[in-house]
Amino acid sequence: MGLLDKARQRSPWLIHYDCGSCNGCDIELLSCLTPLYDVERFGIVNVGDPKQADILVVTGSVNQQNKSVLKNIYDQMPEPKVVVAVGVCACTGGIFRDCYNVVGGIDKVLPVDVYVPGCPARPEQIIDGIKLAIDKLAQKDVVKEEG
Amino acid sequence: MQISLLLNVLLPFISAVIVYFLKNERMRNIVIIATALVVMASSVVIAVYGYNTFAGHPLGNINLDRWIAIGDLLLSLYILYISVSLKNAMLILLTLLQLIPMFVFENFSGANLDVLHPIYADHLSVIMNLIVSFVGTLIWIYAISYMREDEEHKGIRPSRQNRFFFILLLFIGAMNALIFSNDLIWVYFFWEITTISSFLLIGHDRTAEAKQSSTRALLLNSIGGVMFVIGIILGYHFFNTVDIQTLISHRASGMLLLPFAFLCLAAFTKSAQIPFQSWLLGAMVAPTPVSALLHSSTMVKAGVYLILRLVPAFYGSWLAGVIAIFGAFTFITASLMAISQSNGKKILAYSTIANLGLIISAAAINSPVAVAAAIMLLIFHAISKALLFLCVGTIEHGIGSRDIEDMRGLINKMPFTTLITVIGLVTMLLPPFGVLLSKWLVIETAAKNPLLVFMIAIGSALTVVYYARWIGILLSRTSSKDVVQHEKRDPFVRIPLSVLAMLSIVISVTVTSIFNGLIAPQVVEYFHRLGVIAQEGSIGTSYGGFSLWPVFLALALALLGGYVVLKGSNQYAMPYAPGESAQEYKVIKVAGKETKMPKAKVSNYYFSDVISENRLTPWLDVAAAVLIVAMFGVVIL
Amino acid sequence: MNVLNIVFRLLLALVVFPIIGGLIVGLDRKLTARLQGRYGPPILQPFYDVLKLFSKQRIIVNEFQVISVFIYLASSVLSLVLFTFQSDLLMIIFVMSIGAVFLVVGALSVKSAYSQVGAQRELMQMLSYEPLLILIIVGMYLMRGSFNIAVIMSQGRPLIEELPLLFLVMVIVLGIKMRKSPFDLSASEHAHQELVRGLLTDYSGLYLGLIDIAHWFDLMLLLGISTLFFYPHIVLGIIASLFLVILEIVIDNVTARLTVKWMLTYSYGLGLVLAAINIAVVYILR
Repeated sequence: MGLLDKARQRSPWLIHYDCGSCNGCDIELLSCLTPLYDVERFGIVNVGDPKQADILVVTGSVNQQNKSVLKNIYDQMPEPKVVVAVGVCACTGGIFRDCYNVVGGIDKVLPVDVYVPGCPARPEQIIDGIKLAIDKLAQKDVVKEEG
Repeated sequence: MQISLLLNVLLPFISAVIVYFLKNERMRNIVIIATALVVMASSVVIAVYGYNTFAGHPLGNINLDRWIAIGDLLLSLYILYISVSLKNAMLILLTLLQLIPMFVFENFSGANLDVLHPIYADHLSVIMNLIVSFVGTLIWIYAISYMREDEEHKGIRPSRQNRFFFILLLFIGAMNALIFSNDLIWVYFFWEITTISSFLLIGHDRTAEAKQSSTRALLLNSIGGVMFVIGIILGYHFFNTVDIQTLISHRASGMLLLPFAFLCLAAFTKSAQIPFQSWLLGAMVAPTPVSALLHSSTMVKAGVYLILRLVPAFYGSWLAGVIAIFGAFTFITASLMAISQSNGKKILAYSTIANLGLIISAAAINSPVAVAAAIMLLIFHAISKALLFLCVGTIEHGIGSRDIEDMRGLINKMPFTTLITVIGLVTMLLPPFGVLLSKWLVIETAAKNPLLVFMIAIGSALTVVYYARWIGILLSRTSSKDVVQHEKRDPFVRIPLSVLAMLSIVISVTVTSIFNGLIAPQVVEYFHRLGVIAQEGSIGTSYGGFSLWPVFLALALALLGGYVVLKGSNQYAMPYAPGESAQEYKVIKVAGKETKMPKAKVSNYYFSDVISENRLTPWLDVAAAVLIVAMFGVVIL
Repeated sequence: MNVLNIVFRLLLALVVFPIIGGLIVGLDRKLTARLQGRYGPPILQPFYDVLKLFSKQRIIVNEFQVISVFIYLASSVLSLVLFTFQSDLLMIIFVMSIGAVFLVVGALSVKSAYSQVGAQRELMQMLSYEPLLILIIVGMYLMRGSFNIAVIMSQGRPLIEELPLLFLVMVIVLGIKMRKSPFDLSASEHAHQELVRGLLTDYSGLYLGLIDIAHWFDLMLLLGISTLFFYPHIVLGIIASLFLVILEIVIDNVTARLTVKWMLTYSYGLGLVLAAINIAVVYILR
């Protein structure tokens, strides 16, 4: 299964959802695609379709209005899948956590695998986090097969 | 032998009269089904035994010519009566233009109209007879239950079904008689019967629209009738005979082709070629069995049948060249028009016109291979198209609409009918099924003529668009949510649909045997050569070949693969929807005000701004008229 | 034709060609990245993607999707096999069209607006390239008097000498078939997004992987046809085909997506006119 594992690690497709971020993290996330960082080196593709994605990258804190949307996107992704929370808002709710409409970090709604803190998170951090997520993706599959 | 021919031709006439006077529905159905079975059986007997064996007059010494002349006169007078009661001056004029010359020609010109063998059966007539006898009678059976529902639906009291079936049965008799006639005057008589049947059946519902459409059909077909009369008289003038076999044995050229040009023009009107297409489109107001029987699989085929009969006469001439272009022109323009339609029946009507155009074009390509392809297309198209019309009729009764946009997800509501419809569409649209196989053969043969192949290539690409999207729409379904309803269908509907669907597949699988058994002998008889080898599941010419088995094998493997994977673990999900709209928000708050959410709606591309039926039709008519003028031009010059 | 020969051809069609097809797609991604000043994924990336997709959970909306995918794959495979067995070119195109139709049917069978619009656009793409492809083949027929690849290849001088404009038409056909800008409106390759994933929106996992593989077969078939233009100079033909691919990639990177009507106008206005001129010249001169 060496080849298959390798293939899984080398082809993580991610979907990005902005859950109500200030766009700081989004800009940093998108800059990962630019020539300077070029995450396509690692086979990472930013897809718009949760049905084809492996990694859900969320920025911003969850609020009452969009928590169902977030859940919905997550539910449409096929197993195995991992969730990466990018930015402090996505991790904990950040400075918005006490707002009347904010639920908190996305781990209130989804099982988060990797937390990438920062305000905004730096591209290097994000790439690091996604690398961690890729490792988790491989592990998840093994666990699933054993189970 | 004689007896099966008599049964095949005369029994429908007799049964028609019986049916007309039978008020009891049960009894009537029994008569219809019995007649259907006899007609089918007799056509098989003719097909097995009956080539060129009908020497002499079928009824011994009775002078049928006389009777047919009288019948013809009465029929013309009846049409005249209708024209007068419709108060349509044009129609009266056209009827008189048929009636008077024909009467004078038959009685006062001193012409010798005797034909040695008025009945003639070769492979072409047998093919046509099989189509009419099988498809036609299956449609009778379908019509039994359809008309019952239809009358309930429209609240027609008292029932007018006896009249309906009278014409339907009469029509099949006339069609079979037309097929076996070798005397142009006989052909003309039965030709006129089909015209009047079509008129009566289109007007069956007696609505304003039906009335208008039926008048138009009669008018345009009367133009064809006039052309037919001119063709007969000119033909006699040039060749001193009305015997079709003698006529086509002359390798005419120049002016001598004029009668054939007129007969072809008559055929164009019957086959609703552009610019005569409007009557067939209007004819769609008639009950569906009528559309299936007359306006797709049999009556309109009489036109192309006549052309296929006459092919040896103008083979290789300039006239043939122009007819080929004319047919291809109809093919491409009718296909284009079909794209702009969402009315299922109208799509089928345009597609019928297009396919008839292709048959005409192929018949005139000046190659035995193309004539073979034309006959092939005639067979396959008749079955698949009749099936599709019956399907649309059933769907219309099921959901109350014939608009394809309303057929979204029909697989959930009417699984049986939908699957049959999909079979019909696939056999019309995709190789290795017969229609496409014939189309392939036509393109390969037409390739010598770039202009022709240009039009056919674009036309067939257009065909893909309107059929493919129809299949997709029918099958749309969300398995995790939609429950397939149980579909109750009357056996009278179920049986014809299933038989036709099976037939459309079986003849595609056995295409080589059909080709060798029926089509090849006809082409050899015409041209003494063939140029096509059909064996072991492949059809080959000197410049190409189509092997069917690999394609069937690949399709079977694909279905098997799909089945195996479907058996495995799959999770059924909802279609993708971006987060929010997946939930059904009916009302949202915008700036404090509650606003209704507009429902997302997807529909096909119809390009109604570019391909506008109303705006384009006059131009196309003009272009087609130019081609017809060119047709006569090349004959006269 | 002996057994060894048959096995060789099957091997070529079923194994070698699709692998080359995958590599070309990989090259495409690499080259696109370089054109954008990026490093780009490894050449083997398409294979990693497909392998990964195979290992994902299988999610479908309805059964017809699955059947459509398999028919699409079967028809693409069969058309390439027929190509290596040098059969009738027109038949090959017809067989390929079965798959194209079913890809559309599969997408239309899903009640998602994205799939549906993608499918409708795909139909328009088919409408754009199919007549062109038929005309290319008709041009070859007019030169050689046969649709059979074996006969087309049997004569000495390369077709390109007399069919240069039809070779240009091939650029349009290949562009549409490869889903490259400006003709990538039904769904596009890799990162470009349109209508989410357009035609492919509701395919995932195994089924998306199979579609990718079928795509490699299609690509190789078209490149095979373009190589035919140069026969008997096969090496030249391969170089020209590769050049065609690179040209497509460059066009992809310097043009923007067209609307449906523009695409039809371009492919018909330009493609049909070029084809018509070329065929007319050939027809008149012969």
